[in-house]
Amino acid sequence: MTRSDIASKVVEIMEDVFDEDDIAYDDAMTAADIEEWDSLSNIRFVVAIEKEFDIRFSNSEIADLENVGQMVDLIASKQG
Amino acid sequence: MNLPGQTRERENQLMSTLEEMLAGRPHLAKLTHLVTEAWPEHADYLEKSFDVRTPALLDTSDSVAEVVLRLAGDHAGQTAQDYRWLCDVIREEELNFARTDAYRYSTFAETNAHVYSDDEFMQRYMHGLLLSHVLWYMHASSLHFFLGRLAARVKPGGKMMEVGSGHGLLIYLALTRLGLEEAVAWDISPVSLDQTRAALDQLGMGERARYAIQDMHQIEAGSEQFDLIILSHLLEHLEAPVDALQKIRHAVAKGGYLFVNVPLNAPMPDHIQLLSDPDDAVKMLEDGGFRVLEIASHTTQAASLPRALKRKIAVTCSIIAEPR
Repeated sequence: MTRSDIASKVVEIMEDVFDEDDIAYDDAMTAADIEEWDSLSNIRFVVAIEKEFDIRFSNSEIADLENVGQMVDLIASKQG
Repeated sequence: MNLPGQTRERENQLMSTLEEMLAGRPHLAKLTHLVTEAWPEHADYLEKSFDVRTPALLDTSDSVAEVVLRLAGDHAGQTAQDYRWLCDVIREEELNFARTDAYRYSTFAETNAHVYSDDEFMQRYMHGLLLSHVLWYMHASSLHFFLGRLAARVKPGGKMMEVGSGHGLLIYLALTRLGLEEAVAWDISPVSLDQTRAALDQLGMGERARYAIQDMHQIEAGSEQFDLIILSHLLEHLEAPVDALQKIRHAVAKGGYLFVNVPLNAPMPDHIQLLSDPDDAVKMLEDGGFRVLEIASHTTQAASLPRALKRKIAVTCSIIAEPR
């Protein structure tokens, strides 16, 4: 899976979890950019990604992420 | 993903919004100040939680905040820290729940070993939950329902009983706001019962309350009856809640009511009964021998109920019932 394939999937998941249409992907995007992105929906977002890509994040991996671009890189690294 | 920290500018902006929002509601403002001192990043959540409340609900929240502050007393700062700790505990449970679609434990033996027998954990847990009655929309709204809807039904001068009264908040409110005359607190834990006694003494209600070590599964025929029985956030902790309801129905006096708060999709370390729809709660009450008269569903941060159920966001169901 290419990085842009992963990014497209992540956007689909974000649109579903945060109830937003047509999210324009940007590596620098954070929770501050999306109204419905709070501590609880953040958990559902992380777990939806785990299920989609069949991977598991550690708590420290989750805590260290600063933006969506880093999430996409982390998924790519876990997919080897 | 970690949520970005608030900038100082955003923090100041939120503080002044909260100040405006809570003008004329001094107890709510004081409690909010205490919590945001201990946990500045929580201001965003609190702003949303208060923004969705009606003026009447904000008034109720203010009056409950006054009681909560009295109960927290000299330990208010520590209580705010414990509230922050509780929210961290719940976040862990939410992560586990999202991954597994199940609560972590399913038996009393497990929750007893991991939660109830840990005194320090329990103390912080109870402190945190005390503040949640004001700070979480879901809990504040269920208290508002409790006061508003029961006031329309309960006859003044009656006698109430609560199983698992904890900090005694509902007993205090029933005695002072619903016109009930006398209260009885039941618990299987002497330590918890002592906490309720200390709380009600502190609130000046000691003379109107009695306390008993009593397992609700062991009620005998012909035992004392009550005009109002409260099971608030209790049934989700039991292995056999329907059996417990079948026993307790005999303790409801003729013309009396049962009031229940029970959560859906609310992962907490000591919850073992997972309900996922208000219909599950109604069925539990009906199987336990009750007729549901009123039910209200209070969602996290006032999300719409269909959305909350679809997303498995926590909901508290408040139910008024009578024996069938």
